Order: sequence, then structure tokens, then C-alpha cells
Amino acid sequence: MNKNTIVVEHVKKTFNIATTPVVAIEDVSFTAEAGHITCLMGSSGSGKSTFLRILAGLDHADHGSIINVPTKIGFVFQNFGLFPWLTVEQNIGFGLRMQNVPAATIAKTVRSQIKSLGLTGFEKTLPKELSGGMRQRVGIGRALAIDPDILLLDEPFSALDEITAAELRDELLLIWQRTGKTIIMVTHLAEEAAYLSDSIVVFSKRPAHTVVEMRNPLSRPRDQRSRHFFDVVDKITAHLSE
Amino acid sequence: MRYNYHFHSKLMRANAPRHMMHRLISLLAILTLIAVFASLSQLHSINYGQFYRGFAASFSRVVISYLIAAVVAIALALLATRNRYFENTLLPLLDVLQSFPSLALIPLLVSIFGRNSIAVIIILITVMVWPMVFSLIGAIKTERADLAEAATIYGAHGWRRLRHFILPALIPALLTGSIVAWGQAWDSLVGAEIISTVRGVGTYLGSVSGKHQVPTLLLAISLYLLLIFTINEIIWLPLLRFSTRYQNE
Repeated sequence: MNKNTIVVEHVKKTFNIATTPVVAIEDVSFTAEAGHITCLMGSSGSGKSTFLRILAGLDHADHGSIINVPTKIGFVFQNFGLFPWLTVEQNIGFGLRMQNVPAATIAKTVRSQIKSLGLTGFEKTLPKELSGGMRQRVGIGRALAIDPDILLLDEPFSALDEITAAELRDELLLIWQRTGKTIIMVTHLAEEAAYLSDSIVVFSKRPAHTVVEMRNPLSRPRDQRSRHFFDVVDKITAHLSE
Repeated sequence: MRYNYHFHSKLMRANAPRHMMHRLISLLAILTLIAVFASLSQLHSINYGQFYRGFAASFSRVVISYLIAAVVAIALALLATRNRYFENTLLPLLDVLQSFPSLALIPLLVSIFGRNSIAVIIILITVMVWPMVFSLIGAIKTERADLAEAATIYGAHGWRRLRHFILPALIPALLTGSIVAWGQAWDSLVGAEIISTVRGVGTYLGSVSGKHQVPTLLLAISLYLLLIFTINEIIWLPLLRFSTRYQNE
């Protein structure tokens, strides 16, 4: 086991909704290996986004522990979460700017992100003038610009049309192969998890327990129309309805 | 900026004819009023020097009051939405204060500060602060959660958060609140100046009285209207157009 592997043990989270405590996460445990893609799955409202926010330090768990909590986090949002008043290059450089990185260094990093994400020519464009796919490319660029320890993605392709989503999934795989980043991604699509992941963690309905932690047996590159692929999708789907 | 400007100018061009028409008609209406009243009164019946000096004094009071009111409004709105405790205690308080008739304070303020600009400025602040406060609170409460999360994750804390996230996110709401605030300020200004008798456009209007002065008064009011219209055209409309950059979608 790599020393940067994230080990989650018995995490519990309760919210107070109008003074009534509601248990969102009852008992979640799993391991996310360094340099791997781990997909968190579960029906909507199963606490997987809540868990991702705890991991990102946006929220605190009530009980349990996380070993090797990542410190430098790149987070990609479902609805992109781009600052509407900043241009593409300013959005990508935001994290570095907050760290007081010299402007020349920021410009260099931003330029290389723009180039590798196919955003050339849109440097001075505002997010609202971009298509959904382009916006999420900016969101990914902003996350990668800070050279994070881990990339957390919260249903990053669910607001996109299927063709764009497929394009960005392959783009994410290329980035992962190039950088070797640890990736934890929330998704509700079994096909997406089967295509991208090294391992899959399935959350039960609220209050969330870990239903299963399974390794993805498929070798890469993956053929989404092969028999093996469908078998994995079926297996995930079966766990999801448990 | 190049691409922006291009996009923006396209957007503006699409709406330009209607906007131009709208503004032209407003301007024509005001000019017609002035022409009619000017012909009814003798043109020199109005003391232009006194009128414009008065207006300049009034305008500077509105500007000073606005700057103070804007800072107070931002602070109050941020405080009132900070957590549930503040929201439960501060919001009802702001609601009561908002409906307080500001002009009723004038005799009190004049007794404290004497007959000078301070009393008028304080009144204007109490008038201008509310539209901005409530516009800002509305914007904060409907803010997209993911933007705040992105700001936190990417390291916008403390003053840096205020400058790079909170204030830019509030610019559209601040601007719409400001426009309402200025409108109400022009209104209350006249009353506040007449009661406190400091020099200004309000006191000028108050000083021109008597039945035979009606056309002169109407002329002065039309000129006041023209100046307000001009200020809206050269200050607020361009700012409003600029603020679309700060809006989602």
C-alpha cells in the first residue's frame, strides 16, 4: 500500500435541519489508493457529495477518521463553479493568485493549462460566453493549475450532453495518465464508473453505509461495447439497487 | 478584453435602437417641460447662479452620503447573513429601522449639529442605506453555494476573500440597490434641505414661493429633473452595463 493512500474509517455525519438532527452518513469506510481513480456511487441524496465535501475540508465529520487527508485539493464542480466576473485565464489562475504566486509564474502555468485543455483563443472569454463542455474544461484547468495532491470531482459531467461528456471522460483519462494524480470522483452512472475507475465504492441510501468496495477488473484501454464491460456495469448496477 | 468588447458591443447593438428611442423620448419630454415653463415664466425670473450652486451643493451631499451608506450597507448585509443568530436578531431590527420616517429626525439632528450639511447628510444616509442593504441581503441569500466553496477551496480567505470573491459577487446587487437609493435620495433631499435651511436645490425651491412664482417653480423643478436624468445617463447606465459582466448567465 502506497504511503499516500487515503484510508477512510467509520465516518459519520449528522446535519441539523431546523434543530432536528438528520443523519446523512451513518458509517462510511473505504480505501482510495494513491494514483488511482476511485468512483463514489449511490442514489441521489446518499451523502456521496457530502462525503466529498468532508474530504475537501469544506465540512467536518462527526465521527471516524481519514488517514492521509489531502492538503492541496483540486475540486471540480457539477455546475462548474466558475467565477462569472473572471475570464478563462483569470479563473484558471485563481488558486495561484490566492497563494501570492508571482504573476509571471501564474501566466506560464495558465498558458500551459489552456493549451493542454484546448482552450486556446478563449483566454479573455467570460464563462457565460462558453459552452458547458468548455466551461468544465476551465473548471478542470483551475483545479490542475495549483498542482493538487488529489483531484476531487463531483459529478463533473452530469450537466453536459452525452457526446461532450464522453469527450471529457477521455480527456480526464489522458490527464490522469499524464500526471498520475489520485482522483476521487462522485458519479451516479454505472457506465461512467466502469469506464473510468480503478475501484468503486457504493454508498447505500441515506443514512449512508458502504455497501461494497469493489475493484474494477477491466484493463485499459476499455471497450465500452465489450462483454466484460457490460458485466462490470451489471455488477455495479446490482450493488446500487441493494 | 478584446473578445469581451466584441461580444458586448454585439449585445448592445441588438438592443441599441430600442434603448436609444426610450432615452430620446425621456429627454424630449423633459426638454418640452422646460420649454413650456420657460415660456410661461420670464426666463430670467429664475436665478440660475443660485439654482446651479444649490444643485452642486446638494449633489456633493448625495455623493458623500452615498459613499458612507454603501460601506454601511455592505457591512450590515454581510453581518445580517453571517449566521442564523445574526439573521434572527438583526433582520427584524433592520426591517423596523427601514420603515422609520427619516425626515422626522431632522429637528433632532438640527438641534444637535446646528443648521449645516451634517444633518442633511445623516438623513440621506438613513434613506440610502436600506435599498442597498436589502438588495445585498437578497443577493447573498440566493448566492450559488458552489462559488463560495470554490473560493474556499482555492484559498480565498480573510481580506483576500472579501476583495476577490465577496465584493465582486455583490456588484450587480450593489448597483441595482444604488440606483434605487439615489432615486430616493433626490426625493428626500428637497425635504431635508427645506427643513434644515442649508443651501441647496431644495432650499432654493423652498425660497421661491408665492402664487405668481408657480411657472418659475415648475421651470426649476424641470431643470432639477433634467440634471437627475443627465446623472443617470452618464453615471448609472454605463455602470449598469458594465455590471452585466459580474452576473451569472
